[in-house]
Amino acid sequence: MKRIGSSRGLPLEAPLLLFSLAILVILIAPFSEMFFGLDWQHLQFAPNDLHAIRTSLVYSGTALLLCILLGTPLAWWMARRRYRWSPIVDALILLPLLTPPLALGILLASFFGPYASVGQFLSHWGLRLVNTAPAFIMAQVYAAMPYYVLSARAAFEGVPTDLEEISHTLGKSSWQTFWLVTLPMARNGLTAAIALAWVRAMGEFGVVLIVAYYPMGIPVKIYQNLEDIGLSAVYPLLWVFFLVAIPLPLWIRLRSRRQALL
Amino acid sequence: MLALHCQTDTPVALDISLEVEGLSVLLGRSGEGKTTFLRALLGLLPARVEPWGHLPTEQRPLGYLPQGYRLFPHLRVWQNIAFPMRERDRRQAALELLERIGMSRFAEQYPAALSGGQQQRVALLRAIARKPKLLLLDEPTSALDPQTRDEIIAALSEESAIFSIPLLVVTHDVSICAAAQRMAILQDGRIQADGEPAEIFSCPPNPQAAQMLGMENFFTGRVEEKLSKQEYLVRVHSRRLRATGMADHSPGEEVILGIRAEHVLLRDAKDADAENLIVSEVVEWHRQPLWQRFVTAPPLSLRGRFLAQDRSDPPRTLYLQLPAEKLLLWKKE
Repeated sequence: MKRIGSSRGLPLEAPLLLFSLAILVILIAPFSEMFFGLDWQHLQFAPNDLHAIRTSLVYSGTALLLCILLGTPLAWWMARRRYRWSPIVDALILLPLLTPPLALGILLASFFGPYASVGQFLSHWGLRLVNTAPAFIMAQVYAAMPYYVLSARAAFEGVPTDLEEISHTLGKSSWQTFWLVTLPMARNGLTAAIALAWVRAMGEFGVVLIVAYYPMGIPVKIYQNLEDIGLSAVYPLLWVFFLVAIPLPLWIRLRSRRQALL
Repeated sequence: MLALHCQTDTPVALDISLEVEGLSVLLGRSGEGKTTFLRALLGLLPARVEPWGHLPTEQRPLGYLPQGYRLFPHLRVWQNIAFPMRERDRRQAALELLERIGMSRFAEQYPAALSGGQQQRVALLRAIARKPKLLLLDEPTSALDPQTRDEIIAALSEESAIFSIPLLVVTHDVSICAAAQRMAILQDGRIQADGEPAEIFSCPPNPQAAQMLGMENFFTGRVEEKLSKQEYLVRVHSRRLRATGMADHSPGEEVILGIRAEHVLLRDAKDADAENLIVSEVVEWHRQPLWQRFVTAPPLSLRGRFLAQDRSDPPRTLYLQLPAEKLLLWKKE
């Protein structure tokens, strides 16, 4: 097998390899149930499973787009602008991550729900943020964006500021420098951030359960299938979930890796 | 000739006025603010700068070659050079520039595949591609071996002429001055001397500048008599030496004298009556491939060197002459 990169001189290579493989096996062992715990001959979807798949894909894609559009400027700002109160911003961005998803869902429902002033105000303008498509997307954005912002910030921090200065000395404006230097150089970290945000948005259950039980996405539908039908209705949807959720981060990772090797 | 003025408060307080022509060198020790000066000229630091001080960095017609060259690692060589270009066919224009310095075969490489010297030349082309009115180079010879350094200096001088762009090099490397049309010495945030290199080497403005320019021998003395406009008789320990001073000194004034190691002349016993002759014991002797170096015993501990043609054992006693026109004196601060 062709190895990418060199591990020459790495101490304890063989024990480290065995240790790493053992940890990987432990991590993925529960997923063996998807092969052995499944009645392959009577495999079938529960009613509305396909609808849940479409809901998850379309709304998670939208949520991911929003995370990128809103989170990228915030991440860049956090990486490049240092104020005395910057640590407070760092702590604030951790708050949604720290909060248990169920509690975050309750907070969102309380703030944007029909009985809250913000919710009433938004309803007045036709935007209902409970059990609607926008509510679903909002729940996913709240769940995924902190991960995206933290990873993207680390990616931007990895771009040497002196290269951005060189770009300015070569006649490029701040905006051009961002597009021509910062963004391409942060590419690997940003693609990892996008992949992370995607799997976070797709897999989010707790926040979505409270704020947007309907329209039902895959995680909530799995829960409903388990409650209404049983284990046999969980695995087929879980299979589909993996098949539709994994390709994007995998493609992004492979693509950025191939470009890094050029 | 281009006149530059720059005042900064932080990180180093500077007040610099400088004239640039062809290949010009600003010489200064580490920490004197050479990089600060360049960054201020470029608009990367808050400063009062003339000319172009009112323009943002991207509009100042300056090219910049920083230490470490800082090529964009995600761009190929030709893309790095084409980066500042506005031409329709940027690739072709970049290839033409590469062709002019004989590096077109590296066009499709990434910077990581180039040697340090090649990276520097690409970075220089990238800065030139901006079509600047002045090119600023920060320590271009640091971390280079002497042979590469000489090649780089020659290449810089040549490329400055090819592209008709004046170059301002800031450095602590005295050897670049030999190729320069003008040089200046930066010390304590100000220009201590500014002019042609030969002129500044022969008359450094103070002992610190002289030391920066490679002078090794310094000792104190007291002026006994002013012999002419620039000639003085100075008492050093029990000896009386004739020396040259640029400023006006009064009898009784305490002064610092200095002479370059290569100006200390080796004589023999028959020259015992020669002017400024010192007889001294050798305490250190270093035989190197090109030079033989020696250090004499106190109180007038002198460092000297001469071409290593003679392979015989060094004598214990040396007759050394300090030519009056090379023995410089400055007021003791």
